Amino acid sequence: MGEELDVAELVRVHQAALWRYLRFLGCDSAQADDLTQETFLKLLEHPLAQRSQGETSAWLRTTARNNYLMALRKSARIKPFESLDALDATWVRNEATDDGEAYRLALRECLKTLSQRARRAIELQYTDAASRADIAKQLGMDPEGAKTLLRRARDLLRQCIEKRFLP
Amino acid sequence: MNEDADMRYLDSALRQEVGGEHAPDLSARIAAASARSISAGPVRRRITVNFGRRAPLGAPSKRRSPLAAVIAALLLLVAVGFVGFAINTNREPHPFRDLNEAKGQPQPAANATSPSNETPRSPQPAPVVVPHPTKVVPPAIEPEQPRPEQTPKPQPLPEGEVKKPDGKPAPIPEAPRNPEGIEVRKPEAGTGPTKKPEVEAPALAEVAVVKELSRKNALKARYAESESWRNVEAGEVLNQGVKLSASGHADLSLSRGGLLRFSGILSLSLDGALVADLGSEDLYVDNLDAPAMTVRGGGVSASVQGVAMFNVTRTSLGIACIQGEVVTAQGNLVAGKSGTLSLKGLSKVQAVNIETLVRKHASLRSLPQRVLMREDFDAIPDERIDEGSVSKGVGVSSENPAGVAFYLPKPISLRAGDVIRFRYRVSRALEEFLVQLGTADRGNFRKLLTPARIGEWVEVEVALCDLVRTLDRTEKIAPGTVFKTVQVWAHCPQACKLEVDWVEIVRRPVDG
Repeated sequence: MGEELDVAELVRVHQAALWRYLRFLGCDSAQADDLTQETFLKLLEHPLAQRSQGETSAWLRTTARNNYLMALRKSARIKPFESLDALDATWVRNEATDDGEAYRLALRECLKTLSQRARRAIELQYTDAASRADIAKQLGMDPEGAKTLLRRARDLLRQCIEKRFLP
Repeated sequence: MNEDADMRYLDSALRQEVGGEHAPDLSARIAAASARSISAGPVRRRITVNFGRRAPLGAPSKRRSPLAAVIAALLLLVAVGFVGFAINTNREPHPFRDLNEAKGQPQPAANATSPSNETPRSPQPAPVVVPHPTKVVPPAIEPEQPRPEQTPKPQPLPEGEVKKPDGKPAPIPEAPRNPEGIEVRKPEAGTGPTKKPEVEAPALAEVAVVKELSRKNALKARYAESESWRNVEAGEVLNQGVKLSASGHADLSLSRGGLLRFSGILSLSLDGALVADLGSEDLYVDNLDAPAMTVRGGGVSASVQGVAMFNVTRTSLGIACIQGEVVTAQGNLVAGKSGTLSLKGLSKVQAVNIETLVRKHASLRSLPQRVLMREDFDAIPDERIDEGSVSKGVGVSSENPAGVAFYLPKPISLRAGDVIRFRYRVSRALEEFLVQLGTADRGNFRKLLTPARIGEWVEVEVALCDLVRTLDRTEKIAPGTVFKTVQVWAHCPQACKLEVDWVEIVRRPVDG
């Protein structure tokens, strides 16, 4: 009984971060659901021991990553596997201490520094999932212009966050 | 710091902050799956990731067929009956027993100790015959069992460390696979002792990708008659066996190279070559320099390698060959000829050109353009970069002369109608600006261009047949020339910056 309670607690504490990690690796939301579930079931298959939150989190990430690689192989999709280490390092750097809250806070502030046009393009892309052509149409630009605008906006956001977020 | 990873993390954060994406609460789902896993008994059950409901078309979801259960039950009955029959047969007086005994051959112990050979035994299966639910997987297809050393277990790690945990979950942990990589699903407890594990069908081969639609919701697809039609969007992968219905027209990029544009009903399958079954209306094919494909319709079929237009009736297939050749059992059509193919033969052969086809077919009013190559500099491998560098999805050079050059993924053979397009920007006034294609054996061919506005992105299109040899400008490039590199050069009085956003080589149909 106590074990079940521990597992429920582990799921409660780690599921959101694990799901976001899988999305970050490249899973769509449905695949992230499935792989999160599978990762926790793998955890359930083995005797639980008291671990620190960081250790458990690292174990879950590694298992989730392996599950993701396995799913990619099954679907014969080619992904740059070697870049997953770099992705993982970036994730740990940004999420290790606060689940990325500081990063997202910096992002909220940095979004305010964008021009209205750039912010609108970002909103259209992420809120409405608009295609580049749709964004271009709505902003009265050609698709290449929209591509450049989005690229610049993201560059500005990244630079701004690095200034605010990194020591 | 890895810039790509940083941008990806930013992308992920933007999805959450701007797009409002949140991780769902999966507690109940995990608890339910966990309960199912525990109730499955002592055999460790592999929890499969079921992507079936969201998989791309053609990736069949792994469903346990009711037919399999019926077959398994029948097999059980046959096995039980056979065992019972065998037992009873052994218990009947053997006509040659005495002879065998006389020869000193050993008799089965059961027979020797049987109180009465005449009493038929009811054909109940002996306990040793009926397999236990935990041993239902036949040894021949028993997947490798999870080994203790494969078992991922949380091990102490320094805080935040991301190395694989001890007892690490291997990249393919516990996936029961046979040597061919076909996944075998274990039967669940209580589903019958003789139920055979279901073998997942291999994934269907990809045949095409939806390139462009004439309007929204113009294309619907399904893979079986029992399925309902569903809308397909540009970019979606189509697998063999797909049946398509287009209102307006739809352009498909073929996986083996080539372009299809069709309206009406079309099925795509593989029979060695790609086979397109045209159910209604018309189909435009451009598979020059790609493998031949078969077009069927109206009860006849033709093999095409070139540019051709087909339109189908109930009993015939109209064919117009623009480039290349269309081969039929009743005769061939060369470039510039059209005809009607039916079971009676090839008839009404006459001259045809693109202009007449465009007048006749509404779907050709905007001529299909086959993109032979497109480079966005988003994911180009370093080894394909010949000159300049790539930064943030743009090819860049700041030298003098400034050049952005790259190797094509595969060589392209020049045809009439091929054009190169690219988008560029220069930081200063230029002395000379040119696009140049490199060949394997005949040097470079170039076209001098007039540099446009400084500091602004400009899109330019050049007909490849206008290129001349760099070392002998009187020599024009000839059709059939195979080129392998694309180069854009800017010569400046001082150092200047050249940026190239994308490059594409497009083939337009021309009269052959």
